Amino acid sequence: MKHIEYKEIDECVYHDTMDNGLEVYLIQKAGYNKKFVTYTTKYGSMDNRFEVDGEEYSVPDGIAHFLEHKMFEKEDGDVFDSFAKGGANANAFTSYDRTSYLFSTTDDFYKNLTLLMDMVEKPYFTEETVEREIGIINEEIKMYQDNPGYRLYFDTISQMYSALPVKIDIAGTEASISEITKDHLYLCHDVFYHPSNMVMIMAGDFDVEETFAFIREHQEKRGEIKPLEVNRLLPEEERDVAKSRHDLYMDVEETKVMLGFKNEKIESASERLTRDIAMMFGLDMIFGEQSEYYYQLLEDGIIDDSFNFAHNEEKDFAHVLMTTQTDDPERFTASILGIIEDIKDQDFFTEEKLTNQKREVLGDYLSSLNSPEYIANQYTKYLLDGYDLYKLPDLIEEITVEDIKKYIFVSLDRDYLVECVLRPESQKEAVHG
Amino acid sequence: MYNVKTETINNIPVVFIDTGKFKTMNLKVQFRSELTRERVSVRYLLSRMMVKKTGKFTTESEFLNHLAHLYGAHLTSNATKKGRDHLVSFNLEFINSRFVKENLDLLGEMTSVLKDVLATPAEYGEADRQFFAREKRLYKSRLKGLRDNKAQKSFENLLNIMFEDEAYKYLSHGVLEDIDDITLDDIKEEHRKMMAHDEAVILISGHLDEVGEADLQGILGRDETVKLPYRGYDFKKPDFKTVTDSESVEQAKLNIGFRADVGNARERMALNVINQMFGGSATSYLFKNIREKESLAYQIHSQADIKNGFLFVLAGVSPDQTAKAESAVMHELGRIKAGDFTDEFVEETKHLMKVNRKEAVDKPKGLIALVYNQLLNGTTDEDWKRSMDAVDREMIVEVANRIHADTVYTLTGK
Repeated sequence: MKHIEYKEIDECVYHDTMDNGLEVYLIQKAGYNKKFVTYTTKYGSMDNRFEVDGEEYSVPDGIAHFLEHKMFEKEDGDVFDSFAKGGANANAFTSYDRTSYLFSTTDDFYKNLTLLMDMVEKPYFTEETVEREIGIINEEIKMYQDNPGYRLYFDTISQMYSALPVKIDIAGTEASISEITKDHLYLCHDVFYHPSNMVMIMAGDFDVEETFAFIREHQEKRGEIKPLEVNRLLPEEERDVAKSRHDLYMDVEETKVMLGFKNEKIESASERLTRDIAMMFGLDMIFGEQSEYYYQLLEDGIIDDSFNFAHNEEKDFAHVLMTTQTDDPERFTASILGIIEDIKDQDFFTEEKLTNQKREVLGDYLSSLNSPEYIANQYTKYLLDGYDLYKLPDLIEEITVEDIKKYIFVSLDRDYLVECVLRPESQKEAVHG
Repeated sequence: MYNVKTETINNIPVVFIDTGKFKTMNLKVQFRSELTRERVSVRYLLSRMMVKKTGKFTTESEFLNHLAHLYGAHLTSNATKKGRDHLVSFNLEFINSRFVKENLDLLGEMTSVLKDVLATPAEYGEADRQFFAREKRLYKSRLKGLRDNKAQKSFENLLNIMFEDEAYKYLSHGVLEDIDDITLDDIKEEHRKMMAHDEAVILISGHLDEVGEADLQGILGRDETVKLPYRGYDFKKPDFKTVTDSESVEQAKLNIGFRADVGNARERMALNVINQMFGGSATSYLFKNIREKESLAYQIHSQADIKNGFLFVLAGVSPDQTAKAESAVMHELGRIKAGDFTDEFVEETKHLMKVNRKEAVDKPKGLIALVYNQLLNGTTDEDWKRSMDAVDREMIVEVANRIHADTVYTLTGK
């Protein structure tokens, strides 16, 4: 077992790999009542085509999420009930590249940990339960369809990507999930829930030796599980966007707009992280609430305080999103592009601004480490991306003004811009009437 | 894993919550007075303006840069409702000085920021007109945006019907229609009232080894302590109503409001447990039977305002299933009224509520909220535990039978 101390931030991590390949990380948080555990497979909504031992498979969209739902149901009932009986709160979520199962509790830790491991490791699917789940997930899909923020986000993503399955809703569609069978589910579980494709992260106040011994014993009881040769088949995605402009109409009162700047993906994990942080700093300096540009946009009535922006850096894709509620979406886009041009001609990114940004981000980072949930989830994300959450302060320190300049203008390139406008339905009638 | 001590400094109660487990400190000022339509929107707007700029930092970017320099100290305002009251708070979260590698008195900086924030509106003048106009515009825009969320909108509609003549229908963020008429003088007058007549409490949490009375002297002072009563609304016998509206939605929103006749702390605790069993968790009757078993809803839950004795059910259901879902909800409540539950379920529910309470104090904000709540109610952890332990089958059945449906509101598809 490895023990790593991070003295500067007063954190420590224990790590070990089980014989079957499962990676286990324990993050010790002295004084916390809560123990929080995540059990994650590197399998998400984008993994809908893959090769196993040379044979190619294609499965219905939304299956990773469907599988996540179904893992809670066993022959002897719903595992949610068992967690509740054991005084634990359980949950799960699916993203583009992973599925996480989690629980937190303040007592009966081992009982709940066994429950989590058994639940994730032992699938149970029948025709009937799959059929019933389709109804539940259909309602979930419909619920998202009524959410303007989600529709706007999703349509923007679809405009950016033409091949990559990031454009597919994580939950799939009503049509795609109706094709899911129990055989699909067993296949995906066999392929992607192998211990060597999984990681367990725990945050809280633990008896370290005892916890590791407990997990090791549980994993050894599973016996040898032969790893499969799995190859994910992701389509090539060019940087060109699928559709640069799109109007969407819903029964809303306010017009909303979202811009997406599509970028190239980066292979190297460390470079990816550098770009991620440099972009966060750069965007904040230009559009953040410390910036004069932000107030100019506010004063001009182009944005309101729903204005938001983010750089998204993932293994398989990268883009910048910006959104606001506005009466004049065209003017919003023009202003954003105008600002980007404006800063090209001046010495905008300064050491002084960067130093302040770094202090702010360091403070935010430290306050996030109050939360076992944040730690476990983000530790997982960075680990899967090939990095260490607890080394972020070093990396933040190393970022230079030159890094920001290197990435920001390439990222905010208007040739790779999409614009999605969500308008009140009444406007549609006005146009067509 | 924390110690609480209350002192009075300059006639303001100051609560020290000492705990070593967090990397941050939180410094909060909590104001409280009765919720009325005349004041709620003004107070909300005032609180938003107060955290944007101050007498010392006269532009927002200057102010934010100052806070960024102080290692990203977060200044936020928050408005909520509790009992009959409207609560406005200002919170500063900042990192523990042990992580700072320079000679910087962070707590000293924070108290001076907070003092500045609390004093500034008295100085608002001509130069702030533009700022005021912009904040009004942003405020309106925010409330309009909220209404585009159908779940939020349908819940607001329910409140408006159920509490037609009662102040409870006003949300903590105020009333859209009232914003235009607010003047800068109203803002200044409300600020004066808040500073003079609201009950005010200062709370500080974190590693407080080296923090004493002297550090918190300068934030706020009064000639005498203001102590206001803390109570809920009296029980009103419901007059059952059903209202349905149509809009173009994929999924209908079904909202049901109930009133419960609960008079003391023990009955309120029973209502709390009933809410958990009914629709407050993933093992609740609503979740298990309506969502899981009958697939009538993707989302369904209940929430309770136990101080006031209000219970709400919020569900997203298929437009053609609303009547069925409504009667299913009533049926599940009927089961609790009839004692159709196991003792084991009651114990599990109580156990999970205890776990959740222990987990809540693992968050700085959760800890402060819990301690403040105890201060308002004059209770301790022991009292809570005692009330919880006292809840049993008989009490649940008795209190459940004092829950009466008031309003069913459905927002369905066209």
